[in-house]
Amino acid sequence: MTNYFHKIRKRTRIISLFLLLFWGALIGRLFTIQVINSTGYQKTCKNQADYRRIINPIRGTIYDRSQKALTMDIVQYNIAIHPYLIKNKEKIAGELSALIKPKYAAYLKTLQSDRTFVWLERDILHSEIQPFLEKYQYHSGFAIEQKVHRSYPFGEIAGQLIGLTDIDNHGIVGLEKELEPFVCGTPGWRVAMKDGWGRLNNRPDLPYKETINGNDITLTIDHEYQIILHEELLNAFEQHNADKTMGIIINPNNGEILAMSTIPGFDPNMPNNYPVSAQINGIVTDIFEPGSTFKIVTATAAFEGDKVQPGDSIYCEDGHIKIGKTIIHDHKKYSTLSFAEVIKKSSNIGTIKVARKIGKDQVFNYARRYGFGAKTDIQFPGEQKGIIHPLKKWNDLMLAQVAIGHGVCCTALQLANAYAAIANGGYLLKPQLVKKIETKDGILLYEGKPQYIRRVASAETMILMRDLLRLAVKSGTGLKADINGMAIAGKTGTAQKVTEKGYSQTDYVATFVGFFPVNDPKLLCVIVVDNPKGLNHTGGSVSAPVVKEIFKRIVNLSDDLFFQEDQLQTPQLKLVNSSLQHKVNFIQTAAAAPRESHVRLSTYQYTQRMPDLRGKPLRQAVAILQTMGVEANIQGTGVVTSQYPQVNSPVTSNTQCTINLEPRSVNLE
Amino acid sequence: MKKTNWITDSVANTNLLMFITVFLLCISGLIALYSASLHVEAPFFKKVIGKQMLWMIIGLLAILIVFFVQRKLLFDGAFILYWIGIALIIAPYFVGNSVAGANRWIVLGPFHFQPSEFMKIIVIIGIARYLSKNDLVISDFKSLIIPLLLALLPMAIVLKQPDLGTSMIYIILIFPMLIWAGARFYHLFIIAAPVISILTAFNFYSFFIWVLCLIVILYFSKEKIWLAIVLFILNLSLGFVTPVLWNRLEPYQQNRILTLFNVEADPQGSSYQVIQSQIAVGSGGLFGKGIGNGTQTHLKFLPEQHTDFIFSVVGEEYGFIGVVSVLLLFLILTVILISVAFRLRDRFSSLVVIGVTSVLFFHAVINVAMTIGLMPVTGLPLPFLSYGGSFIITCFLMIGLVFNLSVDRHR
Repeated sequence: MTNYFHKIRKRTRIISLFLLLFWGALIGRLFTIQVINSTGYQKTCKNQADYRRIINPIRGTIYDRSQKALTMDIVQYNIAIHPYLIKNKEKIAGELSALIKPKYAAYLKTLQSDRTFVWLERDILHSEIQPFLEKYQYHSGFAIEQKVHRSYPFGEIAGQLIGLTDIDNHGIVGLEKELEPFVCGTPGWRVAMKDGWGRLNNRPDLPYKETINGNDITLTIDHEYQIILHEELLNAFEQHNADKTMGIIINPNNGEILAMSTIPGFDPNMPNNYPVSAQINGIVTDIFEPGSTFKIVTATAAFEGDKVQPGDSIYCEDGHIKIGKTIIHDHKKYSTLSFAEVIKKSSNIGTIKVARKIGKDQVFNYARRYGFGAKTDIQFPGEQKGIIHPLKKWNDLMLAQVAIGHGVCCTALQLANAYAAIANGGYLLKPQLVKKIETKDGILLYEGKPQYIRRVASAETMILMRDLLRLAVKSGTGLKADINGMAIAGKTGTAQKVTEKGYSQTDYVATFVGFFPVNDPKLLCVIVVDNPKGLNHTGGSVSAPVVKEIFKRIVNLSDDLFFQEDQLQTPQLKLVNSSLQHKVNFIQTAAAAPRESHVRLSTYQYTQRMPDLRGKPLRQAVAILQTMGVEANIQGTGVVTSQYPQVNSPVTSNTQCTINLEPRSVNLE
Repeated sequence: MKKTNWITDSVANTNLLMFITVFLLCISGLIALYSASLHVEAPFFKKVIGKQMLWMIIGLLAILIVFFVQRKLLFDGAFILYWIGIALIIAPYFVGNSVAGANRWIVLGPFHFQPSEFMKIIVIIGIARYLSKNDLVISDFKSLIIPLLLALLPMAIVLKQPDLGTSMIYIILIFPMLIWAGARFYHLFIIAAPVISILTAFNFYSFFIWVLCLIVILYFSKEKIWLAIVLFILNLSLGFVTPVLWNRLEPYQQNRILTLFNVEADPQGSSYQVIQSQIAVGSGGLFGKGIGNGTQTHLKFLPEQHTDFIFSVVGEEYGFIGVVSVLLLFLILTVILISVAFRLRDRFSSLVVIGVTSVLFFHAVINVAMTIGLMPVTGLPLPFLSYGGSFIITCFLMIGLVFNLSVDRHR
């Protein structure tokens, strides 16, 4: 036994040695990682746990002028649960059915699932989830996913105008792109602790940055008009089997764009179903040769320079004129026409001869004054400025072509803007698309105001132009746009399309520009039909009826829209910026000065009609009458209640007009 | 002997010190479990810490019961107990629920009972019983074969469950017991050599070094030369054949063997666990992050943090200081147990205590080593700290057994 215990003692030492060896190895290793290399491990530890989650802002809503949402972000939530992290399932199921949807049994079943991750609810709207979020946002058993998608409730209506956002909800087309800095908002973030299974633990005490949501935009667009325009364009598109139809409706008095559409359209909700070309808003990006609608440039230049009067006889060469080696035709053979008839019947040769008389400098000058060849600076991406060749490149042929709207290119917007200058008495305005921008809290950031670019021509010239254009609709090429009882003015245009081999004999661009009522225009509409196929291809037969339909439907929208004018602001009052005073002053001075214009107006066969003065304030009524060269006989003060001669009766050189006025009643506005 | 007098002066002193050490280990375990279950919303006795305390109370009762078991009963009934134990570890294949593909548990109502843990004690008693036979000539190699078989049988069964860690413990505990019983180191070397040959065979340099060691040891062993040559050739050929055989296995067969070494592996791979546990321990630094501040623990980066990786919770929240304290407690416990074994005049009792010592010590060392990336993950819990009913009761039973036998020596 002693021997055994001696042996044991020896072996105890060996065992103890092994013991210390193992123990020392562990301590040494622990010292290395916990004391020497600790900082590295601490960094790794922090890196894998901290997670900065980006919270995307909600994009601003874009409204039409009557606060109808044209596009908005739909915020939806998905709720998932980790059932094993939720204790007390019956109670929670009860609360959930009270907070979200009354589905106690379904919730309880989901909560009792033995899976680690189950969807509880999908696509819940923000309002439905709010009470739930307040209570369970930081509960580790719930995973809440926010989904934001851009919705365009009206689809193709105003599709190109509103545009499109990409998958990250950034605007890439149309107004979404143009207004991106205003509507996009600023993302925020919240630090969450990520756990070993990749789940995020939200806790209210961790650092975060507030998300700033995008601003809301109110457009000048009127949704009702937009629908009418869209439908009529679609009809024309189908009826004439056109390549493209485009249209724009503006308020000529302040440059507000009320509707704007291009067919074929596109639905921003499903952009992949449409060709990319359909995303383009042709009104601002497509340039075309305006054709006869461009004759207003020559006419305005002629009247302003006093070179030609409406009654001057012009020999129209029986339908063809040779300029250099080129022969230009009229659509009908005319011999002698007055200049008013030249415009009314849209004689190319007559216009060319007038253009020659006034010279290329003035034609070029007035084309530029009308805004052709320059961007209108509309708030829309991709605007084209059109083409006007520099004056030094102009020869006789070029002058002749430009006079009748060939060899120049413009956008439908430029055309609308130029005609708006005629309609509003001579002011070229910047087109307005954005009425106001507000934060989600209702703080006004921007308010669109009419912006005056320049005066194109004097008020009398423009009134004369208006009447000429009225004539063109009443008894000229634009006859198909006329509506009984509505004084629509306008001009047709039919341009041959330019192909690789020069001007095409079969493809045309048919245009019509119309506005009404002629004496106090409220609306102006441009319709462009690209390459109508069939017997009719002229602006007068293809585009003019479209304008007619549009105006008819707009007037029918509301009985008192255009006939109780008190409820509409008069053009002068609509110009609320600094140019207002200027304009009013101008009209007064123009009226006060001894004018030849009324002589000119009354001497020739061209008949003027009494405008509707009812509802206009005294000063304005007088200004209108004086501009027409009619002497005013004033009875009373305030606004005009009745007039004699009545509306639309012919005005001669010695007409006197009696107007009765009463103080403006309070209940108006 | 003078050096250790103050410890071994009296039986009462030794036992008191043993209980204090165990108590302190249990406390550190409970603190770590408290940390790990800090953010779990549940009633106290449904949390792991509460349940662990329940297990500990049951463990204390077990100590009391074991204390009154006669040494003679244990000695005489050792082999009967052994076969009962074998029956119990086979039982999960038939009555147990397969949990995550493992047949480890016998389910009795709400309790999951893991017989392979209790089997550790039974194997110790069985081997001790055999080695304390009066007519045993320990220096004879033949007398090592029975204890070896006593360990290999449960090892094979548990390995199939599969539970590599536990099955490893059965075979490891045999070496200290054989050493203590006075077996020749040369014989132990012969037993261990083939295993080392297989393991080193996969790397040329490690195998080369191993072969050199083999030559040196065999040369100095003063054994019969033909035996030495046979052993050398056996090990050498084993080393050459193993890689060839391995490469002839189909990949899925290789995987089957590899997963054996990776039983607790999660889908992200076993290295994930080791990396996360090292990050946890390393980021604890010298003083730790403080209670409840361990992000690795609370954000569940630490896998198996209640059970096998409880040590990294200690490392993260209490730092190097805390970790060294726990290891020091284990060292003290081991020293106490060896001193108890040393003093026991009864061969059976002494061997049982050494068996208990080696089980507890190897559990601790292997667990910590795998936590800090020194060993592959095998899934061995840390005694007195890791959560687990069967295991904590087994540990308490072992302490109770030591307590019983140390008092028993005066009879």
